[in-house]
Amino acid sequence: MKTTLLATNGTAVTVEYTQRGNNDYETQINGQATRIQLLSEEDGAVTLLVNGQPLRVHVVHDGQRSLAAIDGHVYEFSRAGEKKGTGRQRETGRLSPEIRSPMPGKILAVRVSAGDTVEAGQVLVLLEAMKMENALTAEGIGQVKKIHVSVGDLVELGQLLVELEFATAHQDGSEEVEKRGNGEK
Amino acid sequence: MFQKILIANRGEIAIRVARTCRELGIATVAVYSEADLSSPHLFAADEAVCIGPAQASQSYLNAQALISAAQQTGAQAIHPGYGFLSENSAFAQLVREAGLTFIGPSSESLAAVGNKIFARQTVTKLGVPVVPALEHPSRDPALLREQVQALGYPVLIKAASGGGGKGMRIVRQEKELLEAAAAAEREAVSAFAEGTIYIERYIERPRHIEVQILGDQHGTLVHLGERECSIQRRYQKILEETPSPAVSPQLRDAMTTAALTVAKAAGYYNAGTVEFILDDQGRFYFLEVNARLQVEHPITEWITGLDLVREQIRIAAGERLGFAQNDIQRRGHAFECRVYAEDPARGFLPSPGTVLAWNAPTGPGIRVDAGVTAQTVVSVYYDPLIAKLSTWGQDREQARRRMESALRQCAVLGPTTNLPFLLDLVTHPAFIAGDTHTGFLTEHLSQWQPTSSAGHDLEAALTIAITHARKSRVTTATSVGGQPVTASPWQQLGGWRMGQ
Repeated sequence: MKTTLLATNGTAVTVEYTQRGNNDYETQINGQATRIQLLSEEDGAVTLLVNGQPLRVHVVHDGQRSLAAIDGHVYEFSRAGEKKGTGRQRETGRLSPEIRSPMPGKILAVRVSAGDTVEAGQVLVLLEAMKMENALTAEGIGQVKKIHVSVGDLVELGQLLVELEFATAHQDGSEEVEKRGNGEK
Repeated sequence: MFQKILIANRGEIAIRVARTCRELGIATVAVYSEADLSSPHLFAADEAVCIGPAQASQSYLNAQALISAAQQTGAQAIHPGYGFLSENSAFAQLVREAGLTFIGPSSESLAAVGNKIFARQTVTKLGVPVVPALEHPSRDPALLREQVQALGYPVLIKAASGGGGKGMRIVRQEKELLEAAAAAEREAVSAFAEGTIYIERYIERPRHIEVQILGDQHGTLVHLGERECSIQRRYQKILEETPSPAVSPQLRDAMTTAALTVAKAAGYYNAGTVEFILDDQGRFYFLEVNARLQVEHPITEWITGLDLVREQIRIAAGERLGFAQNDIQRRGHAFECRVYAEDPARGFLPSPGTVLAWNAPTGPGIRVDAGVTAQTVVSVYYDPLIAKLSTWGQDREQARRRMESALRQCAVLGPTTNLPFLLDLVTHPAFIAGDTHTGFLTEHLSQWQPTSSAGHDLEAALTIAITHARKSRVTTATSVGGQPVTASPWQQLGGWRMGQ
């Protein structure tokens, strides 16, 4: 059995396992043959033996996404083809030209106009949500193509706010990675 | 004693208050907004009343709706929790005029300590040091620039009413001043319905130390030691501990004496907190009085063995404290971590949504105050605090290791939380060394990204693959063999439906 899952950072993770018995599986983890025994399966959690070592995993399947918590960390995967922009870990590589609302909220200010040149980290829109002001910023140097909202608008999660056009790769060919992130600073 | 108390709050604190009421044999009334139908604070109480729509201004901040709910259910007292109307003297007054008891200080004390400008003038007269500040920032931009220039950069801008870090901004250069002042004002209006701002000199690398006080209506006033709350981001505390690694017995004497002096002058009774900042020379400055139960009160409960909510209720009912300063023994060390539905890797952006699975940690010296459970919706309308984990140990290191264990056990699936961030915080060498100050997170964890021990990501992926395949085998057994024929590699995987 071979399955490919898409991590929220956009990388595909392929896992392969063979089922040996009803609750007994065999796989490779980091090149090592690993036996996984499923001891119990409840709503929201499973207990495994990984090469004899007990492991408690909290796991849920929610539509196209699946989440598992181990040892204080959550691993989220999409089982669908299209990747979502709500990843927990940052994507390295391409910049997103579409600034979408990360949560429902109200537009407090629009700081740019169509045609403006923006720098990495420049504030585009102020969004009020969960009682805090959140600054949504440009991820790289580019130009504002279109603005889809105005001050006072109530926006939904994922709603398109601003469209940017990025210049092509930097002179040295490097990609903008460090400056990424649309969180408040 | 009261027979029934209305809890004018939501989430974990409403549940925490209800628990003590139940222990005392007092019936409770929960209130909820239309956005909180799935909140576990509803079933922690004996009765529940809907007080309005999702917006806090129309529900949890709606004084009239709360008082009507109390009257309609026959409650004799209102516990305000923290935040919302807990420090609103007009609300305390309205509660009293309605013939009910407000579980907190008198409306007069609230008014006296609630406004930072008045509080500052009062404590200066008492000889308690304060940080240099502008008491009346001008609304004229040019004048404001001059005033702040005279005070000296960097400065801190905050809301004159309220606390909790809402509306706070550090300004290091003049060019940032006006925008920061305007933003602070807007946040103050939306959080406290009152936009007056206050500007003070900013002290670099300070520790935030606060003293818990408790007083009855008969003149007994005691302190329960200090808490250090230096680990903050944007003035929102995320981890607290007691005792502070920076407070010597001599300093503790000086700070607790100052705290009691302030409380006494305000005629303060009930539970309250006097906040100070401590600079790296061991000098402390009065910050403000929080005239309510604090979010981080569990750590004081851990080391004193007292139930602060119980004391609050007894005091409000007119009972005597029944113990003196010398009767209070503080033992061991305690930490609290605040679990927020927010993404520390993306600028702490709130992460609302439905909690799909929740696992509370357990073990010796571990306490959980959670406001969510599986299927609770973390809405966009309120604070993203979903749970508080607190631990006790005989010493700091034992308490810290217990916290590490609690954080590893705790699981929230659905909204992204700061749990992995908290784990990296409590295992950071500077934190282990107790070298904390309010800029700690900026200094040590500002470029934070989640990491995990090798193998867990694959174990997670395998668990997902296996459990999903098992689930699909049961529910979609008929589709076995029905491979879709398209070019998309995603649909060719097949594994999800094939079962094995």
